[in-house]
Amino acid sequence: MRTKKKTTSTNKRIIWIALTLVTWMIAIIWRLAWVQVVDHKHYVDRAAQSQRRELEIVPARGAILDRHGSELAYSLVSDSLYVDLKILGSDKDRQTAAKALAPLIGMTETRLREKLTGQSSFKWLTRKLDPERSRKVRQAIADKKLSGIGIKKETQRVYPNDMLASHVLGFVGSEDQGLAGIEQVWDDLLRGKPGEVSMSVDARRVPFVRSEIPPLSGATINTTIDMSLQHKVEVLLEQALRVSRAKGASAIVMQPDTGEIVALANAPAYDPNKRPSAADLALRSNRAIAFPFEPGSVFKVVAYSAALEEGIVTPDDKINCGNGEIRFGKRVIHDTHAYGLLSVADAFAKSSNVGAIKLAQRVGRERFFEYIRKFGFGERTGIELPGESRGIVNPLSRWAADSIGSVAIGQEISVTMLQAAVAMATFANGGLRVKPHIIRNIVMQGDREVYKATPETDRVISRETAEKMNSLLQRVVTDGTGRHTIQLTGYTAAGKTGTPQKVDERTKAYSKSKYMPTFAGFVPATQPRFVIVVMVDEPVGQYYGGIVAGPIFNLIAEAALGDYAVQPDDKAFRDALARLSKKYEGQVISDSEAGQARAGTRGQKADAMKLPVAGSENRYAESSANLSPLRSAPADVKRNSRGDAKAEASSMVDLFVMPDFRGRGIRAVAQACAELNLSPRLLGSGVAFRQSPQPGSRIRAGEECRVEFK
Amino acid sequence: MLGINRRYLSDFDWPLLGIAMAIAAFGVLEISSAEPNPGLWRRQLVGIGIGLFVIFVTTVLDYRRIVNLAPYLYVIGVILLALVLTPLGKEVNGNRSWLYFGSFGFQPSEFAKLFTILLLAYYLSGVKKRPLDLRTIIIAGMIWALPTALVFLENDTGSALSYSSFLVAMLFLAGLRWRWVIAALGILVLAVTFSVPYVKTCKSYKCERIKAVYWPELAEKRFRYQNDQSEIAVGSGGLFGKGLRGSTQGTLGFVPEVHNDFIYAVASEEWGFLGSFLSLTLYLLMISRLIQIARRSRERVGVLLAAGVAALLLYHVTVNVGMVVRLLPIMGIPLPLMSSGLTSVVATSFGLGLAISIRLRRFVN
Repeated sequence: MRTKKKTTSTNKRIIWIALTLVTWMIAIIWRLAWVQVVDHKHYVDRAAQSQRRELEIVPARGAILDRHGSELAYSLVSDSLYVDLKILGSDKDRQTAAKALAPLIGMTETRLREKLTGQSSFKWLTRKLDPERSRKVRQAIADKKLSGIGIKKETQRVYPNDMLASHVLGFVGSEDQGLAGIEQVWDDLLRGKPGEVSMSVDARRVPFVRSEIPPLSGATINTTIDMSLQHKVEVLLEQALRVSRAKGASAIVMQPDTGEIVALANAPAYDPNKRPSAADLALRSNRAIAFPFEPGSVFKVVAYSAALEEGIVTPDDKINCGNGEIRFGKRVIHDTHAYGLLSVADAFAKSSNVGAIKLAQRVGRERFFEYIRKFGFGERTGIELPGESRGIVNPLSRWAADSIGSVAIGQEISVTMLQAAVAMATFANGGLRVKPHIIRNIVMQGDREVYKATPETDRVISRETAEKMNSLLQRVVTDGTGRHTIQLTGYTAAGKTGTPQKVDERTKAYSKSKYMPTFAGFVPATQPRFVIVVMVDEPVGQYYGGIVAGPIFNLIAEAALGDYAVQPDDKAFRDALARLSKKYEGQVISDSEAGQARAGTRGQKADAMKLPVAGSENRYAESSANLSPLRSAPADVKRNSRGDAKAEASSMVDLFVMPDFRGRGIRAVAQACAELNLSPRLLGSGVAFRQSPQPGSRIRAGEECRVEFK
Repeated sequence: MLGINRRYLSDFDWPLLGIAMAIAAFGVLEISSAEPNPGLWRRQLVGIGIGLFVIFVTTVLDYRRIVNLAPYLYVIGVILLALVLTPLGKEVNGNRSWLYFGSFGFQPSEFAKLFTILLLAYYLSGVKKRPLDLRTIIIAGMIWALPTALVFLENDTGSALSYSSFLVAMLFLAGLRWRWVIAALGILVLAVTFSVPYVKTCKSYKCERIKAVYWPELAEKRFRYQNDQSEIAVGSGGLFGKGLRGSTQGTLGFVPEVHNDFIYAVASEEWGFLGSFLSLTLYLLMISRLIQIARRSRERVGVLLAAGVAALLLYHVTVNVGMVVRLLPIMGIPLPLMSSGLTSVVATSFGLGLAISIRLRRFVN
């Protein structure tokens, strides 16, 4: 046994080892205190950083609907697949992923394997998968535990009707940001609020806890646009553009009582689905509200209504139109025809410049200016669209001595078409100015209304004056500058022509060749339903407002009145029809028979409702709706069913479009004929295969219709 | 005969065993928290059981008889280390330190360390000269060099360095001249100073691991990662920690080798500064107890043996905790009694058993 006693020096040396121990302990504890206590917060943040993963959930941009709920714009949310190659690092994992995903995304395995190379932390694999594929891909990712492959939601704006209402809707940029129209003004609401998924992830970035703040989906905007009428207006404007070889054309259709814009179009239009190019960017401005122009004769309504309201003249008073010439200051203004003594109504109908100037002078500068402002010129109407111009109304202080004459005939003043429409609506409304709306309401999450258009009216002129102006405006159509082109069968119309000259950009004087023929008016004149303003920019050849814009007004009015099944109001027309139907009475089907048919229909309806079959009532409603020749607004339907007696009386003179009966059963056809007051001649049995008149042709109540079945 | 009597029970170093068991129990708790897989902590319990048995056997035997076996044990240790380099060895995490007999695997280097300590104690205690002469130093150096070289060949730098820790401590206590001690320290300082520029530019993974701690901006990101995550785990624990099973950095796979080399990171994250301070205090008590045993021992061999074990444990705790708190580069060194691993627990128990045995026989002769 080799044992040795130890020495005292050994004990001293042991102290040194103990010292080393203590020193080291102090160092570590110092470090621990620093990391765990002093810098604690910093490390907590870093831990959160590496353990949290946040993903934005993109809400779908809200839809824009027409007044009947049809989609004018909506967004598709689709899944796009990406890969983080830093996470999907190993060759084996990449091989597995390629094998699993390639068939699901319609790619060859080798092609996908090629994509899965490199170290990029973000790479698209495929964009905008359809829902079915997306579901399968998700399944595969979960089953195979593929880490590093993720799905990102992307939205895409869709304008299903292409060009339709493009100037109203506007368009969006690459990040779905609204750049024009409704898309721009209501961008925030349409966009919604993005939600967020917070995930706790492990070192392989595989999430194991998730919390979600759901996105607030974009608001739905209910516009007042009527898709069908809008379409017709656009087609008409495009046609007008071709025929007149004009630079552009615009039209507004508005309901005077509510201020709701039913159609607003500019031609040429553009396709908002396409990214704007430098060339068509100019086309994308909404000229009907953004472009102020000198209104010319249309503006004479202000001088006339002011003079009437102030009691200075009555429509029958005579004014001397000075043989078509008036001189004030240095300026001489001519009429197109030399008129002598004319009644106020005639001077208006014939659009005498001299007459308008004389009336404005008699009203006086200050009062005249007040009326201009009361009609809303020089201020924005406040429509829910961007880029609205206030027009140019010089303050009185800047009026020259002869300005009153110029302004009276719509020069030295600029207005927008929308302002003209509002002014025209004032006459249609019995003197009340209405605030125009293009949006009825905006709804978030299905039921929360965040915006609602409220009708706002201001009295501009008295009801009496408005009625006088109404008849003056009717005279324009019946006897004046609009008489050749405004001819509506069954309806009265009111309006004013305008043929403003454009200012030549070179000479800074009124051009002798560039005009903007305009027609602003409303129909039917006795019970106004639509204010229509039409303007054509620089037509080639014909340039008078009545000649160029008048026919477009006429066609738009026909379309609107037809679409909304407005009762004809022209007395002469109604009388003629009544005579006509009396003449044919009893020849085909007697009134009593028609009455029996109607009674039978009601009986059937009652029976159908009694049937215990679920949905039978709906089926009835559906069939009659399909057969209805009129795409009428719900309000009109209600009105008809309420005043049954009235509807029956007036139905004798109703004009219809012949429905398409083909493919229907005898019973359905008989029922429809009874409802439409048609006298049916039903031949054969089975399903209708031939009919006369042809579907779509005009037919009057009480006429015979012949339907063959087999 | 075996020496189990009343005095054995009353003189047994219960406090040391108590401290060791407290550390081991804390280790089992944290392993179960870091790795919910029950296999691991159950295995660790088995290791502790074997360890207790080893302590019992070692303390019942007279440590001097074990020391007398030192040359044989040393040879066995070296052979096992050499076997690791044969196809029987297995590489785990870049270190070829495992030896497998069928499915039973262990790390011979853990035992070889203690066998080397035993042989050094055996040899140095027999040297009469004071201070040590060059010949003694060289022979001691050769005893050290053989296993160290083998471990170095296994690419286990951390373990290779651990052999130096007890060599230095034992030579120092055996009576190394102060001037040698100072010269060695001077050479160490110079070597470190001059190797700095080299380490900064060198790209080997060892250099990268050093840079990741001292010059993180120069290190490659993938080498920084483990340091970063471990540091975040410790730091996010704060003063009181996230509570048992509250670890996120550890359990979510951010911190590598959580149940093993980085168990202290999980413990710090879950128990905060309070927990890491207390557990460190337990190690401080344990090692100072070993140093006290060395001081109390009347025989040189007991002093050297206890000090060697103390130095080895100090090295392990130092390096392991140092790398967890980012004071030292990452080396594959387990935390004694806490890190999961049968070999480490059993080897540490053997060392503790030797120390207790020394204490039990401090009055003999």
